[in-house]
Amino acid sequence: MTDHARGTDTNAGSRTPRGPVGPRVPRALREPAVAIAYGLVLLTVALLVIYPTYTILIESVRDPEGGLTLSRYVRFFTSTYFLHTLYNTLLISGIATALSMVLGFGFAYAITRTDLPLKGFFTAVVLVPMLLPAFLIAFALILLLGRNGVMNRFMYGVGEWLGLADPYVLQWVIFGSHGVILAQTLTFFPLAFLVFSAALSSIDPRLEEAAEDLGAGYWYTLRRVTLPLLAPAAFSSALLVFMFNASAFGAPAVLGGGRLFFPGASMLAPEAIIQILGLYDWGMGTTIAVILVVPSLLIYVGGEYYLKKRSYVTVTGTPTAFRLGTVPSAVKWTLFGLCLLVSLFILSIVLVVVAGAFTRTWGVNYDLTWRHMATALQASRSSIINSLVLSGGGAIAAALFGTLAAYLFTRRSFRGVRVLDFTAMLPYALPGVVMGLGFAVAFGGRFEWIVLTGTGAIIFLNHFIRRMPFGLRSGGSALKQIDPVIEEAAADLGARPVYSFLRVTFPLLRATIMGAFVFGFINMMTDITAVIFLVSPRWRLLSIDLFNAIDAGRLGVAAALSVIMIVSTFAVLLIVWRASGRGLDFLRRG
Amino acid sequence: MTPFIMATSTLRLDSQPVALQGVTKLFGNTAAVDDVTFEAAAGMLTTLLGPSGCGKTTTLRMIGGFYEPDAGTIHIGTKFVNTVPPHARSTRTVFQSYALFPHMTVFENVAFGLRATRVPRGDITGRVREALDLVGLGGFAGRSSGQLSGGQQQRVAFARALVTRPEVLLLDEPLSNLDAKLRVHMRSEIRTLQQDLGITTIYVTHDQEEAMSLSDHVVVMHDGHIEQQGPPHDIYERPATRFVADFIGTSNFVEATVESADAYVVRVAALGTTLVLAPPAGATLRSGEGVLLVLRPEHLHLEDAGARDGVGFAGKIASVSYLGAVASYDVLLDGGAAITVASPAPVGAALRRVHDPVRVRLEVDRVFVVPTT
Repeated sequence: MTDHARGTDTNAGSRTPRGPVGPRVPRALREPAVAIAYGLVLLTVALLVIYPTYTILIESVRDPEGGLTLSRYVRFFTSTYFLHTLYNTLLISGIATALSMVLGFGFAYAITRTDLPLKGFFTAVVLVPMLLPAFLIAFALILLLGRNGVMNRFMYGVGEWLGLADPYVLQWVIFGSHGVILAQTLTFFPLAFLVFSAALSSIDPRLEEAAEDLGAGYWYTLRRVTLPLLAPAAFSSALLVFMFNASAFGAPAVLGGGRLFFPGASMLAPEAIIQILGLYDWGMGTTIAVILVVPSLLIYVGGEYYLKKRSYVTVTGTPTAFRLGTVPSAVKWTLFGLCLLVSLFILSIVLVVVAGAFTRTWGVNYDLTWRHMATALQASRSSIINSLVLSGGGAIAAALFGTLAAYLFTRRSFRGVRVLDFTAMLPYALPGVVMGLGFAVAFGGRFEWIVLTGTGAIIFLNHFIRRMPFGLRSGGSALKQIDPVIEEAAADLGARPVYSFLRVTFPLLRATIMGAFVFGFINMMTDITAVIFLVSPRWRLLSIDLFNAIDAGRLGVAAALSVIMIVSTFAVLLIVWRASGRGLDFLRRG
Repeated sequence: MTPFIMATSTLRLDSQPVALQGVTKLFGNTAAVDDVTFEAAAGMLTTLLGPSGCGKTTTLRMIGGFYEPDAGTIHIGTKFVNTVPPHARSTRTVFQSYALFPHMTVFENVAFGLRATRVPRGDITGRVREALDLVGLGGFAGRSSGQLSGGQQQRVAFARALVTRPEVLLLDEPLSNLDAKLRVHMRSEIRTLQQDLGITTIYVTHDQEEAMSLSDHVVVMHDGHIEQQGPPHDIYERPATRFVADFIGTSNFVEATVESADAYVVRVAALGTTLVLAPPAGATLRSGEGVLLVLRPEHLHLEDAGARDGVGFAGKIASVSYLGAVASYDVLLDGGAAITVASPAPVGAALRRVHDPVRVRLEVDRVFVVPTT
């Protein structure tokens, strides 16, 4: 009994002490089903998050004799080559992040605050890059702006026609820093767009009206009211975009070609892959991975626990109605031009890939052919099936498990659950290279404990754990919208926790679970940075086949594989959409 | 308006008493409920009455199993239930927001508790129909819960709770989401239903009028502890504390000093005279101690200045408000005290006016002594 209770107790003899279960066991865990579910979550997090992260850390400081050494870290920070890798990463990520923020804000502002035509079209197109693998955009840029790209062939023709001594002078070849920046900006600006449009539409319109009412003009209101209100959301999304940029692999691998700001050196994520898969230097590879982990973690912790508290943007149930059409027309039409240009560029990316798939030799012979498609379907048949099965299964598992964990953490919470929640969210923050390498080391026999190398299970588990956090977060925020009294009513009417979860909570979360599935599925289908460490001759994947085809310069087959990837992903989504009716709602809501 | 009771129920209920002994619930370091002891007798309606934050809902939630007491015991019948989870208790709650399942029809809502507790499939339809008939919603089984008005939602919530034949019914401010007229109507229907079924009911409210009109037993709570409990007329007529006197009805408080006190009478000096009054229940007063006299406006009588019978005090009318059935007068007594008097409004005659000299007469047997704190 507590001190307080004893203090007010005037009749202690008549009281029965606490129930049979000791006071140390949190009440939530006294339900066997809840305790088992918590056990499952704990086991999953320990095995698939903590263990791989730990093994990477250990591997990076383990010397061949079995002792501990920091020599690789010393080597990294003293070698010009590795330092150049770091500088390239910081510079390119910084520039790409800034461009993504500008583009994302421009789109979001145009769509939420103006009465521009084609808004529906812009909204749809801006989400396209999210459905494509990052390296696919880089690949499409080669088809457009490579040496034999459509645009550059055209410019060469223009040069010849003008009778220039060097007709190549008019070409703008995509290889190098500018290409990587362009590809990464296109890949990540939709994320900034989603954050900005959510933030912009949840600002109370009365704040801006109040500013105008007090005599502030358009620019003054924008500068002193709107933008400062967006600052916390903008800052946290900038950090996130920077982190994704810094750990990106696809664009630098496809477009970098040793011609970045610091020539000869690549970027961190591709360098880690080169060290492992090219040089078999597991020590150096894991060291680079750890160097990637540190800023990711700082950004994640900062975003989760500092910025969230400062957010001015509140989600209310009241729909906000902005008076569209108060934006000066110069601003409006500038934004329209920007959106149209970017949208057309994104569309041309999809178009050249489709065209490339049915063209004999890109840049040379544009005859229609089914040859690439036939080759792709034949050579990658098992990869396609593997990808669909592992992504489908992984996405279902991730959505369901994430939702279950969200339910436990919000509805069956007790002291210490925050730590578990934090750990379960980590795979979201950790770069794909780190999670892939972590799995390869942890389950690859180097620790001779659980060996999963070469199995489909290792890919499935990696897919699952990396996208589970989305179900956890979206489930958590959906649960916050559902009054807990609904579940109390179920318990009150005699429903046990499992029954209540299956018959009340779960049906109410259906749309959220569908959203988590869709997001997870797309990301798993297009993932490459993590699974590149985990595929094996028996378990190949569509995304890896595609990457290899690009890497080998087989552009036609690569384009065919891209089309297959896009079509099969959309086919699955269409089925889900049909089945659920509202599966993709979350994309529009962000 | 549909009558609440459509059919005399064939529901067979096994009502049980609920007993709380020294129940305490801490949130952090503050006691939301502090050493609460009362019994809700079988088949009776017990009200937990108090302002928001007094711990009444927390107490109800402990009885329902949603919170576990930090100290003390809760028994339903003879069963010790402190650690029994909600789903394993024989209590059913009608929540303030009704908490109907939004993804289910009216029928499914009412059937939920039967299905969850594995009532044989064949019995379910009949029992749900019976419960819906009982609350006058026989034709609404197929509606979705979103298509119902507030009053209808509440009926569904009642049917959903009663269909499972609970031993105890818990009502958490069930009328607070209804408009004023419907509230009064539903109040009497709830009381009729409760008495017809003879079900032990614990009713939480902050509305003293609701508590007075519905209850067999009222428990007045304040700051987590019980101020007073008893039948409604006891609470009203013999308030034990200043808080109760103030919260139930309206009261004038007059400072007084005890001159002498024994078990049968207390003599106090107040308003420049000595009054002989009944002593407060359960408190011993000492000579010289300061106390408060509780004077209900409706137990005071306005007379023309100069009247002499009974105990009265001269004063002047300070303000008048006409409320229809009664008129409320603020009177400034010659001794300096201000006091409110409620008089039946005269039919066809003029009200008294401000500055009129008057005399305020007390009914000495309806003046109560309470401790100053």
